[in-house]
Amino acid sequence: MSATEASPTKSGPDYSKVVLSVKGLKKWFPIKKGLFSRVVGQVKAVDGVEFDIHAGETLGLVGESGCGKTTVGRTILRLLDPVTAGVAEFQGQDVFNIQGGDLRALRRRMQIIFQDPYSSLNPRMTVESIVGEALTVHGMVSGRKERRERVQELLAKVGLDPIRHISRYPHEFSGGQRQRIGIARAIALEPELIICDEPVSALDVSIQAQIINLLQKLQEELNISYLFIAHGLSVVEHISHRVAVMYLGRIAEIADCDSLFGNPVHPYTRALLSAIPNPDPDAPLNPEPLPGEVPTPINPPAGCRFHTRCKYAEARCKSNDIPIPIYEIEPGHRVACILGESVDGATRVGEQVHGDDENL
Amino acid sequence: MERPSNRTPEGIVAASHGRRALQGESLSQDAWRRLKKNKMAMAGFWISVVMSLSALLADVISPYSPEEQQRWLGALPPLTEVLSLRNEMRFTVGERPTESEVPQACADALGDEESHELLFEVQDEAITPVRLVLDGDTVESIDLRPPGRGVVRPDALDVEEQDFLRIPDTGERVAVARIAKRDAAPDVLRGGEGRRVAVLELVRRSPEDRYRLTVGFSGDGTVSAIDRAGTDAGPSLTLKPGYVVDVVLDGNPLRHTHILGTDQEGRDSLSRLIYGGRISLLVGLTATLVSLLVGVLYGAFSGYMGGRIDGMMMRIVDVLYAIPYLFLVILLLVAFGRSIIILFVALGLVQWLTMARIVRGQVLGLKEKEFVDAAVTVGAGWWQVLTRHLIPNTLGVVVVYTTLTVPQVILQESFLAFIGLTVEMDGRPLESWGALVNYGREALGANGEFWWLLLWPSIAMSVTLFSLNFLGDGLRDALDPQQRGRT
Repeated sequence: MSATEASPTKSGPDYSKVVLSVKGLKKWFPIKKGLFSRVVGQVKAVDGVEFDIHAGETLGLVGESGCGKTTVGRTILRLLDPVTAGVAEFQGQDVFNIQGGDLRALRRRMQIIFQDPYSSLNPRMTVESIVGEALTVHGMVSGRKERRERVQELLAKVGLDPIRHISRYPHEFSGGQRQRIGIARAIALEPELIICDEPVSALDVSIQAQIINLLQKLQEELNISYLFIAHGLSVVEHISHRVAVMYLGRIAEIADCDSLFGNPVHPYTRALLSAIPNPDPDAPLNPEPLPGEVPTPINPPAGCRFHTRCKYAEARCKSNDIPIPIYEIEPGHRVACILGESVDGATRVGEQVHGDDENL
Repeated sequence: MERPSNRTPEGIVAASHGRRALQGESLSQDAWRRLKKNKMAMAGFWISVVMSLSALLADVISPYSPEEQQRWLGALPPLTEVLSLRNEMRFTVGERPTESEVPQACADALGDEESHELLFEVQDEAITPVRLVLDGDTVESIDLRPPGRGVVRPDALDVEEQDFLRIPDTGERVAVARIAKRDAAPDVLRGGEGRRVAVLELVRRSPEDRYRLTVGFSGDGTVSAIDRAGTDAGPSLTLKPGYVVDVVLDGNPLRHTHILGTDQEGRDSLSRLIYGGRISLLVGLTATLVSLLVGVLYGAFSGYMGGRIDGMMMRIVDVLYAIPYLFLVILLLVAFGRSIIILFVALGLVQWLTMARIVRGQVLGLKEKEFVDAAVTVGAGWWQVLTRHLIPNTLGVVVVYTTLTVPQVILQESFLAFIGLTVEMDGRPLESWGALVNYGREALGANGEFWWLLLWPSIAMSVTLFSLNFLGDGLRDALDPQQRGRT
């Protein structure tokens, strides 16, 4: 597989081949009240998200807690049916409108690694049954012996002892080892895309590096694409080829890793980057911390979602009547902010659509 | 997929040669290990095991049939020795035999016995008396006659009441002849008018004594041996005057002890206790199993589905909860007959509600766990998620609740039996511990003279209920995830 051509930042991605394409993704959770479960509102966790993931690529998805990044991952995996609106195509196949056998076939190609290695492993199953379950469900092994051998292979691949660890139970492992089990389960089906839902944020810092390296090694070996959801920017910078920044259910800025970290345009991205702790004790404190709190996604601000905390906000940012423009700063670097117009060479490529869909 | 050569299965196995494959300790193994340290719970566990085994093996270990009545015994206190009617009797007809003619084997078998009892039937009152001859150093001859007709030694006789003849101690031996009251005799022995049952009890004082019974009849008559079940065991003989009948007792145990006494119908208390436990435990376990099966599946399904389905299913549970269960059970038993199956269904129907609620609550929490999402993501269907991921993780709570449900059901059944709603199978009443307690309570008497009838079933029930409760408490501690890994 020609995974090394056209690699702008790190080795691997094949930008000619889109694995997953998400357009206008919305996931709202209804708020019900009363005896007859009347819907009194919607939590707009994800409200119009678009991105592509290419073969062998890692797309980092960052944003503060509650911005909807986890919901994006789970909606794509069909763990949060039904989707409110939007399209996701996995190598040309519609993700949201399939059922039964097609869905199961698709699940084999998209897997997930969870944040909490303690709740993501069934405490009553041995490592062998946890990792081997997928193999059995998809009939990829015939018989116990073959399954055991395959599980041992997978354990070896993720750096666990295939003999000593296979018959043990999750509670007998450390957090890092558990996460390795979760990774072995995710790669068991040889998927093309793995959604990593904050896979290292529950781990010790020294272990984080091991897991990140393991994920990169597996990506090179197996040519897997990752949607890497995280809030630790340094981790995202290390592993991602491209990064998308989310704020309150929408993508604020998306660019390849170097461009985003080197030349952030959106005020929110800048605030996030300036919030990365600096280990130098003499460095000045964060000069411009974001004022205020994240607004509630039940009743998000009109216009640009970020205008309540943005010092550059103008009148046109605050109205639903004027759509927020999306500018392409340089190839692949898009930002949904009026500031984009002042950047040299920026072209307007689209706009975010506002709340015409209250009745959905 | 590419595989480095040292990662092939062969490579792995070769590389790990000499390493020990560690068997992990599952949560249940861990729980069992911790349960074993809880003395009360283990005592409860073993007592429960013993009780269950005795219920299971009731046919083997029970010394008597629980229904066998020996009314002439009446209610005997614990540890009373009585003479058994189990021995078969063989008759030889002829002149009175000499001692050398008695088969040695029979004599030996008799030798160790303290006493023997004969039960025979004298068919025609008119041709009694029966002459009973004790053969030994001192030969005693006893004639039994209908009362009022005189006996051989009138001076040695103590006539207690109309049908009882007692011959007090005569030197070294005591021979007691007793003619049971007609209405106290076993049904089969009562026969028609004019029949008379004689129960002869021979007591020896010295263990060295051997003796042989020779029964001689003076007159025409029929003697039949009657075995334990009351059917004819030996040949019936028509005797002519002057004939001598040799009665040889086989080497079966002829005297036995009712360890826990007998009830007023002469039924063995221990046997009734064992069989009663069988009914109680069977009801307890079966109703619990019904509740387990229905409750766990119902609750897990309801919790997993959530939303409107969950709401509807739980409202059904609420409605059933609102019906007074005892009322429901009694109603069912009355409406559909007192079959034990109905009882299982009735008690199970009531018990599963709590189980369903408990399991649903557990599942509601569990289904948010990420391993459930993981299972869905690898393509597991809802049934597999339910049975492989959700239900196994509720087992800790389910096991605890089950061990606490069994005694609860036993108690409920006992209560039903206590108020007289005993169940039946094949038309025969099944007497559980509750029924025995009820019987004991009725039979207790004004001064508690038949205390053992109430005491034994009460103790058995209390011990079992305590054991199961201790076991349940111990299991709850052992399965508590907060305690995991501690000693």
